[in-house]
Amino acid sequence: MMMDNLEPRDAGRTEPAAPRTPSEQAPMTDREVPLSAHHTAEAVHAWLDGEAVSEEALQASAKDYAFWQRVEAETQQRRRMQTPTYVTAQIMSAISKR
Amino acid sequence: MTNPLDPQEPLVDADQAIIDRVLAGEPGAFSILVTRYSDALYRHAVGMTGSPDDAADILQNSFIKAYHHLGEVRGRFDAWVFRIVANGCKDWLKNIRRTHVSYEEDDQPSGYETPEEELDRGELRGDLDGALAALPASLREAFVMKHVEGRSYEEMADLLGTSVGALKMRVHRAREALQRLLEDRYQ
Repeated sequence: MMMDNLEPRDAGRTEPAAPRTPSEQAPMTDREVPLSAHHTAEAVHAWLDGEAVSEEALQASAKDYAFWQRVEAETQQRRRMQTPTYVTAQIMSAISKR
Repeated sequence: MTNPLDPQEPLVDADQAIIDRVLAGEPGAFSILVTRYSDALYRHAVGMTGSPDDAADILQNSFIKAYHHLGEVRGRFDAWVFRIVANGCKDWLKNIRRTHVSYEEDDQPSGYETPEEELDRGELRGDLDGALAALPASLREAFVMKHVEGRSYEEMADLLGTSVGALKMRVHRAREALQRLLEDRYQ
C-alpha cells in the first residue's frame, strides 16, 4: 500500500531514506503500545462486540470475562454522562455576543 | 447522534430545517442542535481527554465553531459536528502529550490495604483513565466510541470514514492493550 512519508527525519531530503528497522517501519499505533503478551480470548471479544456467545465459551476464559465485566460496568456508567447545563448556556451566550 | 442502522432520515431533515432557521436570522434555534447532540459529543470528549473540564471547553469551542460555519454543512449535521469535536480532541491530545507522563511512569502503588479495596470502582475509574491515556489516539477513539458511547461498528465507520473491519481491529487492539496495562491490578 502506498503511504505518505510522514517521517520528520526525512524532511527536506531528496535522496532515498536509509532503510529502517522493522520496528521503525511499523505504523505509529504499533509502536506506541507494544503488542500485548496477553491476548484477550476471542469469545470475550465477541461478547464485547455484542455477538451471541455461549456461557461455556465465556467461562472457559473466566479471568478475561471477569475483567471485562468490571470494565463494562464502568463504561456503562460513563454512557449515562450528560453535558453540564452551564455548557449549553455558555455556548448560546458566546454566540449571542458575536 | 443518529444511528445509520435505524431509519433516521426525518431527524436529518429536522436538522436541516433548524440550520435554515439559524441562517435565516434566528440564532436561538441553534440551541436545539446543541441540546440534541451535546451529550454524545460530551461523552466522546470526556473519553478522549479524561477531563470533564477540558471536554466542556472542547465542546463549547466546537459548537461555536460549528455555528460560525453552519452555512458549510453538506449532508448530516451530526457527522459534521462530530468531526469538529473529534478533531478538537485530537488537537488537545497533541498538546497534552508534550507534557504527558505515561501510565507506566505514573504507575505507583495505590496504598490500598486489601485486594477488595484495590478493586474499588473508583480505583478502576482512575486506572482506566490512565490506561486510556496511554493508548494512541486512534485506538482510544475507537474504544471510546464503542464502549463509552455505545455505538455500533457501522455507525463508527460512518462517522470516521473508515471500514468496519479496520475499526473492529482498532477496538480489539485497544482492549488487548488496556488489559495488558491493567491486568496486574485487576486479574
